[in-house]
Amino acid sequence: MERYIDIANAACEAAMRSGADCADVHLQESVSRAIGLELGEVKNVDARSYSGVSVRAFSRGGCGWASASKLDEADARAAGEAAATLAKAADADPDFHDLPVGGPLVEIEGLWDEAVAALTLSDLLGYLTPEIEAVRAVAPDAIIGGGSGLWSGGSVYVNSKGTCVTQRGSGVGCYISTAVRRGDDVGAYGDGDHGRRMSDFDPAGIGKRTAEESLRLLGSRTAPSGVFPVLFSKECGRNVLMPLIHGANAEDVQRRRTWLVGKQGEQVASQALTMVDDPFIPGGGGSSPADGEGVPHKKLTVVDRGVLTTYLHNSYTAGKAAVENTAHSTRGGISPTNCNPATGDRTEAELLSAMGTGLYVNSGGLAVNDTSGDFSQVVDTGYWVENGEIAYPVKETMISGTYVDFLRAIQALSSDPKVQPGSISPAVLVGKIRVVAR
Amino acid sequence: MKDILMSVRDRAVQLGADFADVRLVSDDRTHMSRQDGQTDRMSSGTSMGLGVRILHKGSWGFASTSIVDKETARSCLDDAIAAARLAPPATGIELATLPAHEASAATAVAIDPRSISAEDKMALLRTQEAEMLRVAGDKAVNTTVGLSNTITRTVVCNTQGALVEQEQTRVSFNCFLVCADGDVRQEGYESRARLAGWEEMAVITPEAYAVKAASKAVELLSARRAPAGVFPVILHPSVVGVFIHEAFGHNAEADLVLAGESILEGKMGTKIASDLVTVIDDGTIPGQWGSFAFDHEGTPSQRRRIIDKGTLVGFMHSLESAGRMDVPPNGSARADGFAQRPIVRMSNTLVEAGETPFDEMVKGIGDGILFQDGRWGYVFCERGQYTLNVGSGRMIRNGELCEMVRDCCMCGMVLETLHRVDAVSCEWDLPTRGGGCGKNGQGMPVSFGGPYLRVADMVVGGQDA
Repeated sequence: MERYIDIANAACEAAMRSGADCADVHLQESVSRAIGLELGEVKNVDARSYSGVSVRAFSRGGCGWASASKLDEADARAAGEAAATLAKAADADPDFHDLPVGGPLVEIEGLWDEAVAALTLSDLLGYLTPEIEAVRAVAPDAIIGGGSGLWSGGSVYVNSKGTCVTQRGSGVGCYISTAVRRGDDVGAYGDGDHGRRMSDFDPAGIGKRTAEESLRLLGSRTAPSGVFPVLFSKECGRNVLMPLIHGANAEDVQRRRTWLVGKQGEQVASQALTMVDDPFIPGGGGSSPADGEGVPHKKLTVVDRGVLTTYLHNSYTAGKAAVENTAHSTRGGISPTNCNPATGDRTEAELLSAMGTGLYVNSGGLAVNDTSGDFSQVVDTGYWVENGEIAYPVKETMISGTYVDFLRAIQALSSDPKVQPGSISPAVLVGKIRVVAR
Repeated sequence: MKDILMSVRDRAVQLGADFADVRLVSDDRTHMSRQDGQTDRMSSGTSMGLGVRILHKGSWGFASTSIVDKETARSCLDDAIAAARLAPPATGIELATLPAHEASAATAVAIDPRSISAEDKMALLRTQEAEMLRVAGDKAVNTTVGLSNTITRTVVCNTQGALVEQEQTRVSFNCFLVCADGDVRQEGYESRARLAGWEEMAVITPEAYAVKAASKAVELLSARRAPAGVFPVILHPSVVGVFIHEAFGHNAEADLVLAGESILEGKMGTKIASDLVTVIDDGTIPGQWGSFAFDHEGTPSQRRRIIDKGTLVGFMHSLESAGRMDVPPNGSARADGFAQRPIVRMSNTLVEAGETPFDEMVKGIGDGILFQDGRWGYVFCERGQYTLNVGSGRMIRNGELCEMVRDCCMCGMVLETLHRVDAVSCEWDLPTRGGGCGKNGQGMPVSFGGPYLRVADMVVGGQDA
């Protein structure tokens, strides 16, 4: 890592020598391995390595960027000089204050695991083989796809204020997709498991689950149209809540291009919804000690019983709004870390039973127009529910409305979430949503 | 650099590879944008790397590196060979073969975009920005305009004797604004993306881009939400493009057919659409965003007929899929940079024009909806269920175009929709806005378009009753 710190510092110094007022550098190197399946057999095996350095320089607040893929001091310096040249050509930006100074960082467990980095291609194949057999045991004629993979790498962030953050990361995952055909009728589903450390990775069972779910999805029909309660399963419950968190991006708010303008401190969702952004979850997919500008992360309640408590800031938007930086910079953008909903007190099965007649959405997300706040979404896979019980799988079925109405109609979140590293996804019951079908 | 590629290829032969190719990719990129009256992002970048692919008894091994020297390239080859030997399937495959050929091609460029000063580029952006603000007035709350140019050099060298060099120059422009009226917020977007030099940016007029984007956003502020239900619809060429690419085109990629993941498996030569529908994928259209002279296996680009008057007649192929289906390769294997394997991709996908004038289509529909501004979509290939997102539309009543409606999605089953096409317009457009396609984690420049299509009914997920 020392060599990379030297290269990053060389790029930063080059930018400063070329006339930048301040500069920062992000450098990374990673390797990845992946196996791809076709019809249940190994089809592709990939071994990749990647490196890159990116320099951001500021002059009178104007910003210039330059990057290179080769990690040596000469190319890094050239990138630093190019970034400074671009920054000097940019307009002055009085809203830019300065790059932030880093601080003490919390050590988070499980972000890098030597055992993951040491996995061989044979190990990766070993995770797939029993899952393929499990699919065939349930559905011998299933079309099987998917694969497994790992990555391992390191990164360095430095800036001209003396901040230096080094991180290592790793990850391993396995995914199985299955499709079963009965004439023109097709049931298809996919599921996977992943972790940044071996102790969080357990793919056993995904083959059986995907095969069983594919069979269950055969015989799909169109649902009735109308306004009905909709239960989003714990496979996708968190997905339908994340547009609220992504919409709370302070830059979008300051640019007045999001439906969440002026909503800080307001009741934007039902009291059933509380969401907390926690960057310190051990092994979490979005965990890290610092944001993209080296600012120490902090745990933050973003939605408290339906009230939007804060927007997510980086150093620029925080400086512009004269508020505390929430440390959500992606160095050029803003993003949550591990933002998860608080769970409720009834299980998904209990919520399904309580729903009566309505729609159960099994997978997918919610395409919310970030500008208008309207949504219009096809149900990727789901079921019609009658008297609290699954009746049949649906096709050509959509849901639509405004996201504000959607959030305010949330009735409950389940007590038994699907937990993946950094992600807690309960089922979400929404009281009334427009359902449109053929 | 070519000597490195050829030495790796020759060593792959010595080591007994059934097939090998080595691909060197480098690019230079610059981008500048303005937002809300000041420069926003000024960036430049370079990258270079090498990808080595080995076929061993039906299994592919691939390795890549961003360090381009002889030693690392050999190490890359060793990794690719080890990967290919991991677990080959029971039966091998025969690739389609091309005669050995050496060739080179470069985008026809009249004005090198790198020769244009930053000041001149910024002047174009300022003009567009000012026009958006002039048209939108106090309704404008956020404006963004941007210009990019990329020069990508690719060298492909394989064990069939191909040695192909290609230089592609791309230029693109986009303008975007958000307008607000009270709590109502709407957006307008226009872009131009060409495989060409700066001469294709010099033709940008405010009327065609900034004024159009701003007018659209302002008009949408007073538009009603789209209705929900099942309606006869007319799809604008930009929506037809998204539909034919996303909902149908991916199903016609032969690698997905061979993997059992396409709804078109077993349907070659059968009727899969209305007689009115003919679909082409054409990588040879000069200047178009999805065009190329050679694919990333070194096969010359081609015009491919996929549906002919409702009958499925072809797929898009790589050397592998063509070999497995015993047809000639047609130049559809493309890779997103050196670190990715070539996979089967579309280029410029289009529906051929029909004979019905647009005005007659509108009159003949009675009550329905015209959908415009195709934006995005996706399909579950195995099932054929797709969704399409559009930016706006117009209600049609008694055969007359009426009020505007806002963005929404539609859904359907792709083959059923293709059978329900009951009119194809003589008006035709292949938009020059450019597009990006995602598959297996790889992005790819593409474009799409066609005539207006009238579909007997589609499920419309609007927000109004």
